[in-house]
Amino acid sequence: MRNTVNRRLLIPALLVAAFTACSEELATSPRDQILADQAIVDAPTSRAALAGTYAGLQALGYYGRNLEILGDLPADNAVHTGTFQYLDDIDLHHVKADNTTTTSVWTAIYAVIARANLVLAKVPGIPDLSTAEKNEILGEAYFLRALSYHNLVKFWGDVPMPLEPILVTSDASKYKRVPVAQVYTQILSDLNQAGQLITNTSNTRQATVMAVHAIRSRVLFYKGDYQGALDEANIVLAGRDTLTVAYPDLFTATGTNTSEDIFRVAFTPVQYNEMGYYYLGAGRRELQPSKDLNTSYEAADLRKPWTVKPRGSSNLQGTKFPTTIGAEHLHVIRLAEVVLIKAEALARLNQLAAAVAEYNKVRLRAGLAPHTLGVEVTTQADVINAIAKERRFELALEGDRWPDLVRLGIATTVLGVTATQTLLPIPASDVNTGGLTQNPGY
Amino acid sequence: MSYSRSISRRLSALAVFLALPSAAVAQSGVVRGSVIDSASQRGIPGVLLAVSGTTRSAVTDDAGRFTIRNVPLSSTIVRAQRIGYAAQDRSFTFAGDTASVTLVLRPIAVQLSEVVSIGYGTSSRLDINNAVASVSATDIENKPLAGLESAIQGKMAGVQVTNNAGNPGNGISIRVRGPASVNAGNQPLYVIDGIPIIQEDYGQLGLGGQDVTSISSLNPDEIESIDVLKDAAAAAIYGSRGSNGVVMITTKRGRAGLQRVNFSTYYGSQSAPRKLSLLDAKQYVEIFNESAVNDDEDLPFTAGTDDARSFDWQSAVFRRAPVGDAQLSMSGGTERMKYYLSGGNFAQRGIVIGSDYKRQTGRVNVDFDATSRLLLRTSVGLSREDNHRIEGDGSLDGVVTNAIGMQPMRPIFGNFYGFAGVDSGLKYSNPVAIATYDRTNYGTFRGIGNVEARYSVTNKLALTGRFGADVLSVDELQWLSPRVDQTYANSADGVGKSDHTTATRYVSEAFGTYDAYTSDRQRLSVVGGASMELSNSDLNFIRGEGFTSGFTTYIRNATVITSFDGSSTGNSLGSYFGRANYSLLDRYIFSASMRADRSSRFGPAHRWGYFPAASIGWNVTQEPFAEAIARVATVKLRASYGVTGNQGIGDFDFYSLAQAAPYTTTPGVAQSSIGNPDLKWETTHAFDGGVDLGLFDNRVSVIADYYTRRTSDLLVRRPIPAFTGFTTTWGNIGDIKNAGVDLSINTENVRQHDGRGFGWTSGLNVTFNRNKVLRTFENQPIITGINGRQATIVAPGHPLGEFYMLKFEGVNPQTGDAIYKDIDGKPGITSDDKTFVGSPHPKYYGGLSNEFTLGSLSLRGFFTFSQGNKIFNMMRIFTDDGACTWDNKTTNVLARWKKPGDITDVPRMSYDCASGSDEISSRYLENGSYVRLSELTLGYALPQTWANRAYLSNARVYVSGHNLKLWTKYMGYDPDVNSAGSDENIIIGTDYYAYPQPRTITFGINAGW
Repeated sequence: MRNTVNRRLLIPALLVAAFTACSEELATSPRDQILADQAIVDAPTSRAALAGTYAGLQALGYYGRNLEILGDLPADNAVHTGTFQYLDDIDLHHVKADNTTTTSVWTAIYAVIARANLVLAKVPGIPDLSTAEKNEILGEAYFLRALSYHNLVKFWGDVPMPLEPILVTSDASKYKRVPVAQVYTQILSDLNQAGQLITNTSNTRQATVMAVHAIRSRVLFYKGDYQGALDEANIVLAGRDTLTVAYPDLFTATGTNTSEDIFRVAFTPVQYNEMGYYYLGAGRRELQPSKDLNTSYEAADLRKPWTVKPRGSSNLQGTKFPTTIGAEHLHVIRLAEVVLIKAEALARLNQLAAAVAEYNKVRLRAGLAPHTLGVEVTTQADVINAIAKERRFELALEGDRWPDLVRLGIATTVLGVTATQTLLPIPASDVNTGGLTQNPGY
Repeated sequence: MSYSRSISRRLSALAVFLALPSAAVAQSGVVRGSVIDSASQRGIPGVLLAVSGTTRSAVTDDAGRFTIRNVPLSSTIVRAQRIGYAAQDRSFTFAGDTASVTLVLRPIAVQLSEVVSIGYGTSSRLDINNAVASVSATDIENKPLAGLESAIQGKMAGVQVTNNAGNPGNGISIRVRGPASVNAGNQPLYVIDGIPIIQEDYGQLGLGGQDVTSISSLNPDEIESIDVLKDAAAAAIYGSRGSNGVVMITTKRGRAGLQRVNFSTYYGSQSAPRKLSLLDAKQYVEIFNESAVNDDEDLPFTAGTDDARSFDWQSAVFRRAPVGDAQLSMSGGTERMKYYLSGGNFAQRGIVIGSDYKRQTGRVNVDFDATSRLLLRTSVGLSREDNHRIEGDGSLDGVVTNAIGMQPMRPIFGNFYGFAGVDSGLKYSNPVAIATYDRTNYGTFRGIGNVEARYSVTNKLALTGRFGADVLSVDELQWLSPRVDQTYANSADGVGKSDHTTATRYVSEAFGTYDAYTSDRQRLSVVGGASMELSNSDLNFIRGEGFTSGFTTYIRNATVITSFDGSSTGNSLGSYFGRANYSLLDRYIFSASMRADRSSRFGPAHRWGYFPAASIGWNVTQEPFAEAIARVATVKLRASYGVTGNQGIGDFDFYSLAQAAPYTTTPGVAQSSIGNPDLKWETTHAFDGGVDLGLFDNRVSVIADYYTRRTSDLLVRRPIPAFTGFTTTWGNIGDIKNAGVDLSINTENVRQHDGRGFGWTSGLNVTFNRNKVLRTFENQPIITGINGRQATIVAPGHPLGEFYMLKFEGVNPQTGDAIYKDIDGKPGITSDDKTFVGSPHPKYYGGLSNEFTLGSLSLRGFFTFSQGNKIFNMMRIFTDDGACTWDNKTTNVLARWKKPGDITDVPRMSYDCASGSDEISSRYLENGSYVRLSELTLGYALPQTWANRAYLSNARVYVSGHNLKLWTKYMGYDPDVNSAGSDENIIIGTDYYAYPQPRTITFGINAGW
């Protein structure tokens, strides 16, 4: 009889097991991720959210690779030698709205903006942060948002400008493209906030007081406010107006400061950039420096052997970024660029002698003879032209050539592109699903 | 009689039934036993057993078992009746108050009455209205192929099996009645002995397209039968995972009787059946020099010097390779306790150097009648695999890839660690060096097991509880050696990768089977229950570079760690299901089923999904008016409609999630996805109308089905505005329709009598499927392709994955340049001129088998075929690009344009790549139709006297050839191909240097004692 009871218990037990399991709350929350709306809740997560915003700069779509490619490949500095069709299209100015690379840059920049927006929205309400630390975090988030919007307007012109987090897709529908001037106003407002809140002066892997001035100088420079750009450049250059670091050392440093650092994106073997991998013969050599760049350097230019080397008898490779591992830090802005901004701002303000003296600092470090006003350069146009050349060689493969050509209004003549091609197409996804208007010509 | 009274009367009848067991009568006994199909050796459900001279009767359960209680002890005869089988009387004697009887019934219409698994039970085809395709053990044993899916290729109507490539242990694509999903997976659900198993690819290493599958760890020789549930009426019982069909696998079990030991082994030799026709050095130099002349460039080669020697790189990477298998099994038992034990060892070397595959398996299946009412069963299978994989398909360092691409004048051996490298002029990494120095090991351990208790509460009510577990452990180890010149590993001093994944699934289910009502006029049975599944996977991964000279492979010797991972995820599925079958007069059969699934993969508002199905069947020839027809034919008509689902997406895709985003050494966090809380199941509404036809004493049987499947709320990664910081989110958008006919005909052309004389049977199955995408997100096309080379489109009004590229219109006789159709009307040929150029789906496919028997000799031939599909021979973007790349070319270029006036379809050779011949276009699209002599086997059963002399009860020897002959116009190695792998839904019919399929000759022995 007892056996019977046991037997009879077996099946109900199995049934109960199955049915109770059904009613339980099951594996319904992720283990190796957290819900996005719980990402910023206290002081440590606030700090982490800021670090996560910086990490967005490392993306291959951003400073990790594609932003720089977008600055050199469509210009006269680099050509496509690999197999990716969408890079070929950029090289040949046949960019379409669904181009993977341009879309990836757009997305990566907006990802940083989204992260910054979340920090700016959530961190003010975090109780266990000191006011000083809260200010620092918010200031750096403003800085990253300003930097990112400036990168957008350089390539796309009018862009949508969300300043609050978009947590569900439907929230995106309220954003449309806003005029460049309005974006600049926002950028300067963000930089103003950053300037008031940031106190960091030493860690150049993050935003510093000087980085705010340097970026403001660049923004005003692109905006055409040369006096403003000059004033900001002078603040940055006060007391450090010389270039003393050997050119190669700017690109090999993997964590130590050089005296020319202002703001750089840090990389490691795991959080790597792919600049070396894309340019080196040992890597993909998806791109190579153009023959035009190779032959345009003055013979004695010390920057050339560090930037361009022959590969085989007829090919070139870009050697500025020395390893395929990609753990070298990359400069967002460095002293030489500020020197050249100051030089061009002076030239624009018709202070030609001072302008020549300024850009000679860059020539000097490159092992080149200084220019003398009235000899190599005479007119304002000569000086601006000479500065454009120095910018090309000094910042080669760092992603500045195309924005320079566009800014100078000579992209059409130098590259033979149409005026409408000086702006990239708005990604197809945003036109189709976000209702954004497309740039003309696409 | 009022309705309510009838119900209450039934209920009181039920109460009486339930009370009966406790009211046992002393002068009576119990007759227990089972009824087995003589052909399939499987238990037959639904057999009516009646004790002669009494009113006592019972119906067999879905395992073919029965228990008749309260049988007078004077009884001696039991009669078994089942439509589709010859009725049988069998005598029995009581031992005490119990008697055991085993009856073996002979089917009278084999195909039409066979027993098939239907999910939470088995049934005879006669009693169901479902579209189910089946193969039994004899069709899948002793095949020199690792994957069981290969063994069923061409054998089931409505089931399309694509091998993708020939590497051992490779992932295989199965599509049941056409692909219906864009992003959520198109592979069917696999259920082994009632347990839905882990079937995903848990390999973390990509080797250029081809993938692995966890299905390969199953040993086909342990399998008794495979039934594929094709229509919604059958698959809806698996609800949210039934959309792509269900593959029901039943393993072998022991039977009461003498202990049997079976040993089977084969050994075979494999080779590459064909080589591509590539240029030799002389031809190569000639066309490249001609290309330079055409474009006014300097000659790249010196004829007479550069072409002095020619090397056959294909022969350097192909080899004759052995394949062998040994299986030993023991089975037997008593009426109360039955067992099946088996062990197997399969080893296959690849026909491409560097690849091989080994699998060891073991199985223990035990059935134990603990009491007359309680049956306990366990099924446990263990396996390990060791797969040495090589880079393939689209990889830059693919072995076959580089063997095809290598310039023919380049030597194989040289000074770079014994092999030729860049100093010998090689443009690409040396494939022989890759196969020699690089290693990729994929190893698995797996245990799949379940325990089951079935308790017969009464003759009519049985409760089953089942607990199953599937534990899969995957270890991978890769070493990319610096000794291979021109590889990334060479510049990085070696790359090592090591990873581990553990995937587990636990399934607990309980269901009751109730034969609610049984008489000779009508029968009602219901099944209802619940199940619970928990799946988990945990993984880690590490990749290092910079190995100090002399140290290899293992990460501890690396200088830098360049990548790592460690993560965990899981999901659960809780379900209730039920099914009722009602048959009236064995003529009218009604069935309805319902499943409710609750999946953790969807948000709280959409967690539950409901999947109903219903069907009707009509055994026309059971009707009195059809008596005249019934003498020559049996006819059954079927129709069904049902809803199934697909939940093949990630575990938490409905959430917006955040994960670690460190900035160098500072801990960081950032949003990683943007979720869609409205995400829900992808659902398929399917109709099936079929006819089962038996003719001429059922020597001809036909099963034909017409079906339509409309899949809606497709789970797709839909684009969103990228200014959100994300490019896609999961959504339910779009519709796909599949419609077609599948047909299977079996004939017994000449019947053998008592195992003597001549016999001949044939089987043909063929499937016609039409696939059409009806709607996509805002009707935008999705254009994609391997390695970013866009060639495939998903667009409304077109089949899923139609080829989309420039349309080649010939060669300009004046210039020799390729001409492409100008679609957009604007000047120049750009990507806007791409158009729809052909479908990768066959118009029809199937298989034809013939078996001839003469005494103890048997000859079996099996053809598979696929007709009307296009293949994008993507290799030709390099081997037929008109001298754009240094890759060797196919001999197609010998017909090239050479001078104005030449009429040809091969453009001129152009050193500057200016002839337009490198454009991805329909020029590379080929007819993928084929007919293959898939198997030819000659077997001889040793005479009994010989066998006995060797202490054997039976013995059979055979010689078998696989893939002996292929008839096709396709220029690549094999048209049964897809380089995108089995996980891919959209990119199909694309051959990008796929590993060729071997031709195999085996010799084997099966012996039993």
